[in-house]
Amino acid sequence: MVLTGVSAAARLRGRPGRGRLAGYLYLAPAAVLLAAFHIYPLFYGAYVSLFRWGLTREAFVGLSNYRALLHDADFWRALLVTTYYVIGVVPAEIVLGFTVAYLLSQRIHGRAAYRLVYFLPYITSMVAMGLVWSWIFNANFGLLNALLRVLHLPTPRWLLEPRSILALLHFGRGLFAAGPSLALVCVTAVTIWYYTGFHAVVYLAGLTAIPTEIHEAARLDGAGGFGLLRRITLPLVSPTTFFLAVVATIGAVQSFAIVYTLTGGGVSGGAEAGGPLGTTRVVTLFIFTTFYTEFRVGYATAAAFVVFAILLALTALQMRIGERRVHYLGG
Amino acid sequence: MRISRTAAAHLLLLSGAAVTAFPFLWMLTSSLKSNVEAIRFPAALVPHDWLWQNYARALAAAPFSRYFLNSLIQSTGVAACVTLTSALAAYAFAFLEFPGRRILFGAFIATLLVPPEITLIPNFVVITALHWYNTFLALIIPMGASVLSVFLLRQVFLGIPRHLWDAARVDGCPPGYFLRRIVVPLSRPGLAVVALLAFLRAWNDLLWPLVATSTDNMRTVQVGLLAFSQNVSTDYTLLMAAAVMVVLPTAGAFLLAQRQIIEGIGTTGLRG
Amino acid sequence: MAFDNGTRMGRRALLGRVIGAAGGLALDGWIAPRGSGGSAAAADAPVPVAFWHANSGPLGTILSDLAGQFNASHPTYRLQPEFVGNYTALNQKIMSSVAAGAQPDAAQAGAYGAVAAYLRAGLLVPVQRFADGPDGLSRSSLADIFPGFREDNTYRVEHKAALVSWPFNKSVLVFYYNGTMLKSLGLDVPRTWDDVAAASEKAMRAGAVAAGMGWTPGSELFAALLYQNGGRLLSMDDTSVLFHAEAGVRALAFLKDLYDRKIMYLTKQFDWQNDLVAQKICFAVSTIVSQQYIQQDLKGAWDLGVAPLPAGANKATILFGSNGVIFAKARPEAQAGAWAFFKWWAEPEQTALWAARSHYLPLRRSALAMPPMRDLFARDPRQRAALESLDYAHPMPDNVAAWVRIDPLLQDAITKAVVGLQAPRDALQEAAAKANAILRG
Repeated sequence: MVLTGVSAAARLRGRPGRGRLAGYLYLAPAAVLLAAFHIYPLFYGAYVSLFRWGLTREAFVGLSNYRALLHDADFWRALLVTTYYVIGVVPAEIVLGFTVAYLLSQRIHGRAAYRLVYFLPYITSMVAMGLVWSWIFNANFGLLNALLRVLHLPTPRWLLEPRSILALLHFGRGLFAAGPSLALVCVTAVTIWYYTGFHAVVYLAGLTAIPTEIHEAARLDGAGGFGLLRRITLPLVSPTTFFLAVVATIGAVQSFAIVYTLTGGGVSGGAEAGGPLGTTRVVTLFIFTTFYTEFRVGYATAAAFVVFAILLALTALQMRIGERRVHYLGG
Repeated sequence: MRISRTAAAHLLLLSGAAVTAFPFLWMLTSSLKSNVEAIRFPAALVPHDWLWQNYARALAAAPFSRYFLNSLIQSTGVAACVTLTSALAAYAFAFLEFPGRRILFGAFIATLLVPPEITLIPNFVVITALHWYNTFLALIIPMGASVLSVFLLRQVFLGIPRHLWDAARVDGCPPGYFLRRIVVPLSRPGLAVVALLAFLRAWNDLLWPLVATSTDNMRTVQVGLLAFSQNVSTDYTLLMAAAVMVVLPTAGAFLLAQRQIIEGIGTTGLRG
Repeated sequence: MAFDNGTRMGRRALLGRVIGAAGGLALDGWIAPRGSGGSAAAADAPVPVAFWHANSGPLGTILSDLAGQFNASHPTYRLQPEFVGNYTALNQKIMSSVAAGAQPDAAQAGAYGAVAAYLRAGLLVPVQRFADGPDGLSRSSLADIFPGFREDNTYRVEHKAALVSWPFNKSVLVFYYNGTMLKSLGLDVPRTWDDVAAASEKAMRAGAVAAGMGWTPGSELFAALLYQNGGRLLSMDDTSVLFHAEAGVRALAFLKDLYDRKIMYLTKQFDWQNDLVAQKICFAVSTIVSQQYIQQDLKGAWDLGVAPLPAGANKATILFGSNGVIFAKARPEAQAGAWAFFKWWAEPEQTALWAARSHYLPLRRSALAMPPMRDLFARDPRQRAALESLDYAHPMPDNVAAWVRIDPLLQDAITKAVVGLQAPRDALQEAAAKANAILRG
């Protein structure tokens, strides 16, 4: 790094506006760190996933980790749980975020205060708020059940309930696998609570970027209320919607801290993380416990790559949809 | 007509805000209750006695002051590292010309695609090979670069009037000088936002510090809080007091700089 | 112009500051990994022995006190206890630190199968080597240690049975009850599960409690019932599971029955303690160590009773706890120091002191005659319940490395059956099939 000072300064003397080498040197710190801890892991991880690797590297097994994953019921279940989770989280965050932003954009008094409150969860510790929510959801002493008891309503076990929410609401016949468990629904709700403010803020920026002339013109043409919303506003914020959809999906697939705090963590007897009967065991938890508790490093890395591939495919799919349906202002 | 629409909007917003804010209030009031009161039914909203000593007890029950110190060192280190590397990189992308600039920019973007699940295990193996395991280097260095911060700062730098740069070039001003004397002073708000966001992200990070540390005295506040909740702790009020202590610094920082933070985050969405 | 010089200075100064900061971090010693390393100790400086454990809070304080006593009486060594987390976290951290080459000299191992896993990975020095060595144990000493504890730590090493780990924290599953409430309802202390059911129903009918018992699902209570029904968890040679035999089905069906009759409900982690204290339930099953925590929360509100685990067809209960291990990568002096600590730990005076203060079990019979234990029994006769149970206590198979993956399967089966999602027989069959597949490798 000391080289930067000497050689670049030497080259600079007398030559106006030069910076060719300097460009690379300025990029170097960030580039080196990114290459070392974001790009290199990709290749090194691919290498690791081809081995049976426990505490130490054991044997080259080629693709057999991946083959084993295909037959691993736990892995498929983790994918299923993640799917339920993503489907539950992403649309809700987007819809709620947009609703809040839309309301706030209607020249509301105290907009800054509202924005502050809604955004607050996003910058606080997931662990701390996860603990608060698990206290609220506590089956015996939590606030929710206390309220339900006052109203003489049944008090579900929330984060301890492995039965699917459909079964509990008496749709379907109590099939274990049909639909997310109540515990997963609780985790989903907390996630939505956590991120809605972020979506609202991004949408708000997008909404306020729409030139008011467009709205004025539409109103002059007789468009009102809902029609305005549907025909003008929504299409105009579609870049933001698209952006948030991609970001939220990626974020949901990678979600760890909230789920781990609410339903994981490992009780001292050695129970694996993942809530009641593993019904909140999303893929990140699967990868984490396979890696950190069972210490099957090669297998866990292979699982991470499968998830990565799925994520790439999902993002590519969203990009394809986005290309066709996103309207950019000004071409 | 118009009035009731605003009223309806306020009603909706207020109820949403109430749901959003309520857990914080509950956390605060629960932290001041006695455990007996906390588990009693019906649950009181306002504690009967305000037991400030719960906080003292929480501090004594686990080495939270050490956890806080570790988090402070980690988050400050990450913030400094990210701001430095991002400013340098953003400067290069915004002003300097060099072959392959566009490709490198694309490469930077491409790294966003690599998810934490992929980087977690290989980074762990690399950290152990470097003998950085359970040290601050492991907590700080891998998190020391952020492409989003590079974007943000590039945006900010591009906002600096181009004629300043042109004039500097004509005068033969070396890039480092321009950065130090012109760009940085003009971009202080942007730099502050990047630093603050990096600080917050590092402070709230759980997975990497969980994996990169082993002993209790190297734990960050998130890992420590989680461990505290898993040990023999049936005293929820103590847990809530600990949670309040963990949330307070970030909430405080946020309240002080909320406009900048919110706007900083909002603009990342505009580029799409 | 003045720019050139200024630039060189400016950038150099900036870089200099960055390098200086990085160097500062390094020099602060934050780079060096922890462990018994560090500079070579001078001939008369005490040998540091890094010991990782899972005793939090008050237990950790007691351990530190005892470590201090050890260091005072053994000036050649300096034991450095380090709290790392609960048993799961401790296991995780040991494994990741092994991967990092930064493991401690000795540690407590409480996660199921941990010792077996470490042994298989070649990480340990069997304590037998030290027990047979110059600073070893006499036969009578060894025989004085409760046989169950010795068996629990014996493995096949090079075709011979050898002590690999050393008993450290030992506890048994006991039965807690609300003494005041039972007395007021005119109930006797339950001795069998039928007694428990009857007493619970009476208490529930009287409106005194919401349910008889609160239970966080775990394999230990099931295992106790399994043994009470004459079954076993594993075959004698540890190659296949047996918990799905008739005895297991009966045990699980019994638990399900308790749940269906609303005599028992399920809780999370230690919530049953809060429930017991708040008198929502009047019975609970847990280790003897829980007593002090419940007592602490009670603040004298009512009398806590402790009894041996209720019997079924037979008497049986479960042995818990952790064992100590010594790592092969530790320096020979540190290994010797770790052994000195373990040996000292099991001596009658120390084990009596530890047992009396922590409510874990003493490791040997002669400790029962020591003053701390005698005082304890005089003050608190309830402690006898745990000791009585030792005669029929069975250890969990934590000397089977694969158990760390089998235990969650068993727990899931138990929960599913109790909650009614699957019939007990089917749940156990399913878990057994998967478990046997894991055992086969």
